[in-house]
Amino acid sequence: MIQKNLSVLNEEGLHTRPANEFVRIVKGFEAVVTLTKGEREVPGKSLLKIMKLGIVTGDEVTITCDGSDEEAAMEALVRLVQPGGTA
Amino acid sequence: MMKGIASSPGIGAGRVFILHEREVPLGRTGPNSPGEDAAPRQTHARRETESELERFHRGVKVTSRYYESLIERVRKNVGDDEAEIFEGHLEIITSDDIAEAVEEMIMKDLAIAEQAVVTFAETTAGEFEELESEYFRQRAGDIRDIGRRIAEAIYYGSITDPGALPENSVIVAEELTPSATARLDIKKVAAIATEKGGRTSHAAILARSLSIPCVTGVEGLVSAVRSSQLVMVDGDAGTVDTAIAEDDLTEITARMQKNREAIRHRMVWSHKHSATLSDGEEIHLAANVGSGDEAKMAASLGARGVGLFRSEFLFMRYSDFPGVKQQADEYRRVCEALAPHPVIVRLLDCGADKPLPYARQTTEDNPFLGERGIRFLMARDEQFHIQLKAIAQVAAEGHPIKVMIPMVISVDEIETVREVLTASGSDVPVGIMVETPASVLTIGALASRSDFISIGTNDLVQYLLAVDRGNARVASLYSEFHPAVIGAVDQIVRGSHKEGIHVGVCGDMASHPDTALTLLALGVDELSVSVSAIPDIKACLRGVDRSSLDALRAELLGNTGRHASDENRRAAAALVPSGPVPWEET
Repeated sequence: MIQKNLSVLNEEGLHTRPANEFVRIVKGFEAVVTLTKGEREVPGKSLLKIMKLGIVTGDEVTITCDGSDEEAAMEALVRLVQPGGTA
Repeated sequence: MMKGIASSPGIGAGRVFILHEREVPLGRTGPNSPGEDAAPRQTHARRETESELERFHRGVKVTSRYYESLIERVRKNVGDDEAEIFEGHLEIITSDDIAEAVEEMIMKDLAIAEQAVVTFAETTAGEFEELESEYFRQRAGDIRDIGRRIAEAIYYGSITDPGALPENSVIVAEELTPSATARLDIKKVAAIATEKGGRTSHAAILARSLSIPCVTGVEGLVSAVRSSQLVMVDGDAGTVDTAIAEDDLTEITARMQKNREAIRHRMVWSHKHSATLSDGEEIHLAANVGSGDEAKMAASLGARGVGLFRSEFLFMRYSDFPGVKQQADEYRRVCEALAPHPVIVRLLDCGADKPLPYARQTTEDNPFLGERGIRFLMARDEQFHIQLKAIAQVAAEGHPIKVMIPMVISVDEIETVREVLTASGSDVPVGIMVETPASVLTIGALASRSDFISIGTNDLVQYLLAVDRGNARVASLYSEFHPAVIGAVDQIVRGSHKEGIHVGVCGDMASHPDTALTLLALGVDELSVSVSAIPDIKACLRGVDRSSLDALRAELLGNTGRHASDENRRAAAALVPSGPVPWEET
C-alpha cells in the first residue's frame, strides 16, 4: 500500500469532469484507491462520494492505492490533480 | 378552435409534441398498474419487493440508454466539454452508490421504487447544498434532475426528450422556460403554443426572432390536446385549431408554402434595400440576436451589425458555466456573420425572469429589484473574468466587438468592467444599457465614461412606471408612449449627445414601426431590432422624412394631459406609412 498527501492544483479541482476522469483512471487499475479530505475517506471509484467531498483547487487531499499496480495508479492520479507537476 | 395571444406571426401546422416535466406520482395503486385513479400509497407489500427491485433496475437501464444518446447529441451539437459533464451524470446513474441506497430503501422500508429514487436524490442534493464551494452546492440540481429522470423511466418505461423531436412538431407546453427553449431542435419546430406567458415572454421573443409562429396564453391547452394530434397554430390571429383533419393538411400545406414564399420575397427585398429615410438620411439599423445562427439570418436581411447579443442564451445552452473557449467561439461566429459591422455583446444578464438553472440563485422577495443584470456577474468574480476574457480574445483577433453592461445604476459598474479589461491589456469599447431610473437621472456622468449608450426599453418602461408587464391586472398601465417614457428618452439622448456619445435602442420599442419612429423623432442614432422585424422597420423608415419626425417630436414633448399616452400613440401611428408592404408590390 502506498499513500501520498498532496494539494489539488488542476484548474477545476474535482468538479464533475475531472472527478469523473479520476474515477475512470481508478477503474482502469486493479489497485483499490481511496481519497481522503480532512476526516472523510471515500472509495476512489465512487464519483458521487468524491463529489460530496467538494474538492476545489488548493485543497489538501490524501490518495491511497493498494494493489499489484499501485505505483502506476498513483502516478496517473497525481498527474490528473497536479497537471504541471508538484509545486 | 382555441384562442390565445398572437405572439409570433405566421401559420404552422403539424403534430403536437407536449413538452413538460412528466408528473411521476410518488405512490401507486398496485404493482404494474400506473395511471389508475385511486389513493396512491408509497409503500409496497413485502411479496412485491422482488418486482420493485426489478422495476428500479429496468428504470436505471432505460435512463442509461437515454443518457448515452444525449451524450452523443451534446457532443455533436455543443461540444466535448459539455458532453463530458453528462458522462459524469451517466457514471452516477449506473453507480453502486445509487443502487445500494435505493435497494436498501426498497427492501427495508418497503418503499416503492420511484419514491426510493426521489428520496435518495433529495437527501444527496441536501448534502451538496451544505458544501462550501458554490460550484458543488449547484450540483444539487444535477442530482435532483438525475433522480427525476430515473423515476420517470421507472414509472413510464421511457424518458421524454425535448431534443428528439419528429419533423414538423408543434410544441405545446404549459410554459416554456428559457432553458427548455434553448435546448429545442428548432429546425423541427413548426409552431409553438403555450398556456402561460404573453408577447414578451422569452418563448415568444425567441419564436419571433426565429420566425416560428407562436401563440401564448391559451388556457387549458395542454389538457385539450393529445400527443401527435394534428393542430394548426395561427400566430397572426392568435388561435390554435385542434379540429384539423388529415384532408385539411393539403390546404394548410399550400398556405404554409405561400407563407414561406412571402417570407422569401421579404428577405430578398430587405437585403437589397437600405434603412434610409425618404429624404436620404441613413439610419443605423442593427439586430438583436441570441446565437450565431440568428446572426446569419440577420445578415441575410441586411442588418448593419448586432446591437444586442443576448449572451444569456449562450449560457442557457450549457448545463454549467461555459469557459473562455466556448464563449469566444460563439462570439466569433456572430462577428463573422455580420462582418465588417460591429457586434455588441451584453454581459450575462440572468436572474428575475431569466433564471440560469445551474446558477442556483437564492429565492428573492423582489427578483426584479434583486441580483440580476451586472449584479449577478459582479458577485461571481470567476465568471465575470471569464466572460470579459472571451470577449477581449475575440477583439484581439481583430473583430469589432464591444461590451455592454446591463442594469447599470452607477459609475462604479462601468469603472469595474474597464479595470478588468485594462488589467488584461484590452481596450474593447465599453457601453451601458440604460434601463434603470437611476441611469436616466445620472446620464451625463455615465455617458462621459462610456463609449456608447443603448436604451433597454422593456425594463426601463417597467421601472419608470412601476408596472409589471407580465401581470395581467396592471399590464394595461404599461405604455411605451407614457409622457415619463418620452421624457426619459429625450433626457437620455440630450445628456449623451452633450458628451458626444451615440445613443442606440435595443429594447422592444425599436422593433415596432410606431415606437421606432418615436425613438428616431426623439433623436436616437441607432435602432437594434429583432431579426424578424428588420424588413418591416426598413419599409417604415423609407416612407418617412426628417421634417415629419421633427414635427412628431414637438407633439410628443408637448402632450402632458390626461390622454397623453393615447395621443402620442396616435400621432406616431399616423406617421407609419400605410398601403401594401413593398415586397408584395408588382
